[in-house]
Amino acid sequence: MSRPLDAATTPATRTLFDPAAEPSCMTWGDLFDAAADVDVTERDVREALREHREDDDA
Amino acid sequence: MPDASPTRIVADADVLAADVLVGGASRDALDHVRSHSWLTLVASDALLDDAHAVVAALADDDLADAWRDRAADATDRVDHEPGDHPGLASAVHGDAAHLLSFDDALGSVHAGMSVQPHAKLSVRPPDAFARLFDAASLYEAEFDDAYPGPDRDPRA
Repeated sequence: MSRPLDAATTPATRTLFDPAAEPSCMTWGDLFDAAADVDVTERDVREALREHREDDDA
Repeated sequence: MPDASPTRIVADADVLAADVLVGGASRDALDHVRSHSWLTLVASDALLDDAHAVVAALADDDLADAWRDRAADATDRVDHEPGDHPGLASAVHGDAAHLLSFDDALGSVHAGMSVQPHAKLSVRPPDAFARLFDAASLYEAEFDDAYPGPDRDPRA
């Protein structure tokens, strides 16, 4: 059985169990928090990617 | 070429960027992957470059750089020809059975690609993947053992 997602697996305490697994960069949670104020939609994302790939193809 | 594995998943750049910028179905879909150590997110440098460019365009360079660092750490990296579609080519060269994209035309044959999508590749929008993905059934089919539940923190 796997360990449930309790305090033992949170980033703050994970180094107690597996130091090698500690990421050297921001966590996903940190990234999502940092992006929380970005006001865009899925449509905006799709359009931005389309424009980027069209620029690359040009 | 080895058979595509249902445990190997590619998210096209629109889904990768929407995961961090929008949340919603893209985050729900990728949380399935982040929550299970036996699932592998596959991406090429070109695919990460595309998503990085979208995050930079819609947010800022700092967030895009931080996202790129985390995404690079979280993905199994594959190479493909420079002119190929990064999402499709990552799926083909990465032996992935799932490609998440908002572009539902991606599953068709693509002119100009050095390789074509294999028959086992399932192209789905993230909401469909999030709704239909059954971790327990897949685990039990792949590992012949009882599903132990999520084994990773999806926010780590």
